[in-house]
Amino acid sequence: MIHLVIGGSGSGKSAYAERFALACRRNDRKLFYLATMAPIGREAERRIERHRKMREGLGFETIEMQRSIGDLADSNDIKGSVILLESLSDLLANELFEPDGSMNDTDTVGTRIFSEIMKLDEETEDIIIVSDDIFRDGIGYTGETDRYMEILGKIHIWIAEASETVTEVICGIPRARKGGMK
Amino acid sequence: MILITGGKYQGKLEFAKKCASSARVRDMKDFLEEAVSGKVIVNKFNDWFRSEPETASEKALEIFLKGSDVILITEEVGSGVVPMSEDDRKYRERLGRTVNVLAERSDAVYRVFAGIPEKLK
Repeated sequence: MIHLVIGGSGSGKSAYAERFALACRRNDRKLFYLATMAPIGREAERRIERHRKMREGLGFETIEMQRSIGDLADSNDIKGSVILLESLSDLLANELFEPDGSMNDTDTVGTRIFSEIMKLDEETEDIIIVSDDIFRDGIGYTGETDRYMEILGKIHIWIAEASETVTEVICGIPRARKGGMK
Repeated sequence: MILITGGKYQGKLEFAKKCASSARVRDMKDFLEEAVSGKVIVNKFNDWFRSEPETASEKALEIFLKGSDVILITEEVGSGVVPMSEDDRKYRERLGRTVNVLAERSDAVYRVFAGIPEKLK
């Protein structure tokens, strides 16, 4: 089952998603933390370190993947497991932009990421997906940024439709937009 | 009047079409220029608002407060860092205040989030 957790920067969505993932785990199911953030630069390293500390002792096994998360579906390890994917918005940025800033295959990347997530959903017990709410600042972005937002918005809608639960986190407070909460 | 708000790329127009499948869809700017009969979905209210920052609020209130039977779509634009430019700040603030008045006078208000509508009123 898919669970989608969306919130702004610093909204507490990661902490909520971790609690949710722990609540999904029963009968010795494996618990994976699928980290998609590229560890480039000091700020990213600090954020990664902060998230690592938050997870410490909770029993997550960390998998770092910046692209093509569908490849995980072939691994026996993840069968019947609970996966926390952090985060969809980082994953899309990694898939969409090359290190030199150029953009690739914008027409297919959204549907590809969505089908990779559906593939992981088939193999796992639960997949909790964290993503960023970047759509409400009213700035008239153009070009590549707007394209990134458009694709992320579409993936959110598709995943929300396929999800068991959709939760918006505001000031650390979860609000159910679809289904229940843990 | 039904008011639909929500962030960019959240599926607002798709939801409006579900509310009124036979309605015509017009951007606000075109809606003002041609007479359209029947039920209309008025899209991109905020884009039009930005293009006429000085007069938009007054015009919009005059058109929609006299009992209009439209579905009006406007973006949530206020949840970001305060913009550097004065025009952007005015746009955000004035649009927000205008939409509050329109929402007060609407029969129903929805917010769409990741394709999921929430009835606010």
